[in-house]
Amino acid sequence: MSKRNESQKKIVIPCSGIGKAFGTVSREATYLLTEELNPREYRKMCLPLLVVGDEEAIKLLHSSEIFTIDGCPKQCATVSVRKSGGAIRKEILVAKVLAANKDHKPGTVLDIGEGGRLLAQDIANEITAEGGD
Amino acid sequence: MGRKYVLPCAGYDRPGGKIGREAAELLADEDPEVVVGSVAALFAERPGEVKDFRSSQVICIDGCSVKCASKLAQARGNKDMLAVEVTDSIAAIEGSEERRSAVAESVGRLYQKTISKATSDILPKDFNDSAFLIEKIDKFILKVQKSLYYSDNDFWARVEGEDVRIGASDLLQQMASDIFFVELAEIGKKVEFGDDVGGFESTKTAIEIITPISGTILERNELLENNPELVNENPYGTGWFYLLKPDDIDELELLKDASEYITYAVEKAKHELGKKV
Amino acid sequence: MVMMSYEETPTNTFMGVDRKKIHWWPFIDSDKCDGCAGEYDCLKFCPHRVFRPIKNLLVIEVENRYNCVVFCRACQKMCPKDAISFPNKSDVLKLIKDVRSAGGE
Repeated sequence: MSKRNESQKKIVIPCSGIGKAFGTVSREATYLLTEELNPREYRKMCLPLLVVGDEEAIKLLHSSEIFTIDGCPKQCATVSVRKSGGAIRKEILVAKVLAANKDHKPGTVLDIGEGGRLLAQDIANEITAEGGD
Repeated sequence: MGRKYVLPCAGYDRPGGKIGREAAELLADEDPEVVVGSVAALFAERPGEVKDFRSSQVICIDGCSVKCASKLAQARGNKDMLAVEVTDSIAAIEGSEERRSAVAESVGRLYQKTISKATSDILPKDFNDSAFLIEKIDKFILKVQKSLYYSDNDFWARVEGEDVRIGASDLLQQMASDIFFVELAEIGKKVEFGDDVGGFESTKTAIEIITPISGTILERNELLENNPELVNENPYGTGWFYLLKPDDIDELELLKDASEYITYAVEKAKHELGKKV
Repeated sequence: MVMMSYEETPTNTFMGVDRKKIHWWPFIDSDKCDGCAGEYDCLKFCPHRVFRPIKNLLVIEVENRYNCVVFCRACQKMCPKDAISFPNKSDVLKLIKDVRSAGGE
């Protein structure tokens, strides 16, 4: 893929939460969308890059449409993107997606189970509903 | 609202600086939560000063439009400070005491706006009675607010004038763990003691809201629709469920007071907390 | 077959009344219950181990009636076959109040 192509993609940024299943689900949803469902239009970005102020990452942020996926109300992904000057197309809160799909309860942080995988799919769907697939 | 760090500017060549400093001192006299900051110490990053600055709500009093106090606070990393400027109109007020009070009043209005924005008028007025009974069980800490009544279903009731507000106890929110959805019944619904009135779901389980008093629903906590985690974060405050008009206030006799409840809750916690569902 | 031993009710009173005096536990209509085709939704859901499966018959039964939380009917709501019912809450509340006034536990 040429660099130009990469920089035209929509960016998905999951939170880095390691304490709860929702954090794992955020990342699972990101991989699902950016590696399987639609890698042509969506790419992932590593949240800690923003935290450390990586110039390249921030530059890319400023010229892209961003989707954040947060596992808890602290909304680390959303807050970090905003602080870095990025414009968010849509913020996804895992808890809200679960509330709309109550059967898709995830398992544990180490194994999100079938429920968690379905929830990840629901999240990917929410993103493509907004950003197009 | 917690500690406040009031930072007057250091201006001495204009009246605004002096008024600002005096107003800060007046605020500190009136409110033990206020610490008066020093622009020089903050600039030099004296450790005690920086600690106060970082652990408090910062309020800058700028003596003129150059706004040195606000600029310094921003440069030292504060993004959510409040600021008041001593304007010409304040400087023109007759009498130094009156001028001082006018500035202190502007600051007071600022805190009120922030408090009411954060909590809106949903919080009951006497909420700051934050007296809790606390018990430790293994690695869990149980909090029981003293002024409330509790049912054996682990819901609390707070008398507010003629009405009663209800919510989940700290034990219950801990047993439930991360709540992601709350469903509340309609305003106007009549309920009997023991009835299920809505419910909430967490990743672990689903729990019914069992009312600890009979009555009619006057209000329900709409905040929980978008912020269900409030039940976990603040079960006795912003995580409340309903405000009810009780049929008979004497029904509260069926409930436990805080010290009776904590005994019950500790026993229950030993069996319930830490259990894998 | 070894019977699993379930823990006793953690608190043996409810509202000051001996739990065993309070008639509150789920009633299962065995005509309607099909054990959720072996999934036993209520068994999975209830955190208080009230239920026990009867595996040969693909039906559920109540194992620990006094573990059931008085006034809770959450399992009734989740049963896909509407096979669970409970006693009348007002009756149960009345009994509790009567026992309390009589000064008894």
